[in-house]
Amino acid sequence: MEIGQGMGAVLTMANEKQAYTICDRATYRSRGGQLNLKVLVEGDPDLLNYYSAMQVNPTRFPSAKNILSGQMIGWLCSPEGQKRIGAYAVNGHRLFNPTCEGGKK
Amino acid sequence: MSDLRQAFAEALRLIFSADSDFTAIVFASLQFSISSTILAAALGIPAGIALANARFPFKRFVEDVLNTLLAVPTVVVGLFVYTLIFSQGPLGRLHLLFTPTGVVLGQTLLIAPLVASLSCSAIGAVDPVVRQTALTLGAARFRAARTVAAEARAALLIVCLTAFGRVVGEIGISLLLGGNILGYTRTITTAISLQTSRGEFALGLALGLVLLFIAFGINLGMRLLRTKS
Repeated sequence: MEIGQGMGAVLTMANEKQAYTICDRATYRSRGGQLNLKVLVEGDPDLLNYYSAMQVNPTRFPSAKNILSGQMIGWLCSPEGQKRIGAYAVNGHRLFNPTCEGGKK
Repeated sequence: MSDLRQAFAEALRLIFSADSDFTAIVFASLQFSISSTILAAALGIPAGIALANARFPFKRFVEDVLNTLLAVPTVVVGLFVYTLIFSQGPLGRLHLLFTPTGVVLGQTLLIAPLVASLSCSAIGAVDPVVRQTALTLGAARFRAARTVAAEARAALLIVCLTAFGRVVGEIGISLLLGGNILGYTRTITTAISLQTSRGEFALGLALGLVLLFIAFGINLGMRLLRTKS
């Protein structure tokens, strides 16, 4: 089935139809309590889902707020930002593993 | 600007080449809307006729309630029916959520009050002489009500067209109860919303043009019915 909606809606529908789906852990955990769905496969390296922050090219898009977005990315990669990402938890489950090392973007 | 022109050209191509996704979506929309209009007419027209002919205390109140239901947003009707038919709801065992039947059920509940209210007005607008004549010619009350309804048949058809117009363009119920499943419950409005959020305008534009065309057809039909009656 193709429903063209967000992850939350997909989980709701999979639950309703008792169907299979692929989902990120963050959405599943935050909805976990209301769902009658079991995890069949998890933790496989193939399933790693990287989140990246990317700045738009300032020469092609001069109207973009380049300095602010640079500060944002800097903060995300800073020890403080990485600590916050790693500490974020829903119902006691940590959802993200910070992988940004020493200012590497 | 050239993006828009390209999207428009692509939209026309989709319409005239009868693209299979495009026709499936239009067909689903028409199927749901026609079904719910027929069901709502079957429920609402008799109710409207009965209400127009009946005299009872709180009649004004019933009319007020009916008119309030006309203003209920489609998502609220969708939400209400959702809680009835989702797996934990009272009708959960029927598995109607995210099926065409679920959508038609919700859409019928949306427009049945509209049909009832407008039918009641349409009957009320018939010259009272018709009813009095039928009664003096010896018709029973039910027979007289039928004569009055027959007199208002063009107006009742206009009511059905109005209801169809409301339901074919709604999105709240189609999305909540249908779930926008490709080739199953994806309708014109849910597809437009999805395509726009994806930044692909051609199919959305093509479907929008179809909606406009349907609206034009409805208005044309209404005008013909009015001039006839």
